[in-house]
Amino acid sequence: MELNGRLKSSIKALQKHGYKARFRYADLERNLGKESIETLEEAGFVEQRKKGYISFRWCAWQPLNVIKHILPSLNSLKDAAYFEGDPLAARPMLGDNVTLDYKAWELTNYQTPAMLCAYADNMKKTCAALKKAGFEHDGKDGRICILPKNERKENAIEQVYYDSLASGGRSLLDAAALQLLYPDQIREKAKFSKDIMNKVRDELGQTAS
Amino acid sequence: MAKRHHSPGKRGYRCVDAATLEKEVSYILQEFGSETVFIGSIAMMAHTERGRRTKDIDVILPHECTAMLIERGFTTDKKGAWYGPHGVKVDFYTRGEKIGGIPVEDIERDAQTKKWNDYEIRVPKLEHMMLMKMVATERSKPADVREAHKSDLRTLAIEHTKRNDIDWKYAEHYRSNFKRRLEELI
Repeated sequence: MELNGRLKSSIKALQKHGYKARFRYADLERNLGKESIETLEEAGFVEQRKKGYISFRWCAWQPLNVIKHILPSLNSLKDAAYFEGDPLAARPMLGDNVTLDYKAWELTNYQTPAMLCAYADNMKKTCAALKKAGFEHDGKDGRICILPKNERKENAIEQVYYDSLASGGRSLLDAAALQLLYPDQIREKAKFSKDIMNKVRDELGQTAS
Repeated sequence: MAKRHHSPGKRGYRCVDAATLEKEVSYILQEFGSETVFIGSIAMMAHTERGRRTKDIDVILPHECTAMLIERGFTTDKKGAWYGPHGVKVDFYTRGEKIGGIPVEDIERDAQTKKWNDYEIRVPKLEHMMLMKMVATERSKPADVREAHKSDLRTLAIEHTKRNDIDWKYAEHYRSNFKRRLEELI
């Protein structure tokens, strides 16, 4: 999904409410309108919707110039396929398109990786190959994550950076680490809290030269 | 005494890899014994049987004694943070303290033995882990910090709800409405 007028106004409307871990769906629907919520959902910003509540990914509160770069990652995450099994055994099957945990680890040596995520040129073919090799399809909790190839960034650091921002959770720490280690290679930087930047800077060792 | 080393990383940052982390855990077990309780990321990994992103080690000691730590090759920086002989940051917790509102004595008393890599280590009971992560999530004000803690809590909840081995009653002893609060948070 592109950052069109409809999406822009939906994001701005959500941002007006400030960050909240979750919203009561009925309240938000009253304030934003059903169409805006659906637009945000279509773009991949909705994290969860259950029992009358809705939560959004942290990146929904980023400036629009940053969100513009995150949208392709969100799109891919929306259609990700997950498999259970040993990530190291799957890695040779996935080529050079690895992103998130493992790629961030290669670039930062900051957090040891937990999940193997890779973009697939051909989603169906890659998933079929994994199944054939004995990797079990596993809803949304598997340790191997295959993402449909989307509009890719030329700069590999930016690719992992925006993928990490889209993914959220502990990947935000990776994004912060990339921002500290490669400031010149990331054009549009996310707005992190001082707390997280200080934490990551501290944990990286505070010996930046 | 083992010598502490710093591996210079990108732009001069000091980094820790998985092998170094394992060496440090092994060293801690050797020096403080198999009864040592590991909390934080090592305990997370043991509970979920998955690798997890980490960069430090959290350990419960009966009491922290500066001289004893120095004698065993640990060093401290200007801010008072401790590092093991392999260069990994190690945070020590002692009796009399509370972690996430749980007395350290309770965590030690009910700790379980779990497998982590090739080691048998003691880690907090699952419900204590979830309570600690719950408090960390709730207490984190900035949204990005909260997100990081929430993802750990979610991992534990999903993994163990699948296995159906969460003792809800035990958790409610420390926190009323634990189950409802968990659902709200994740």
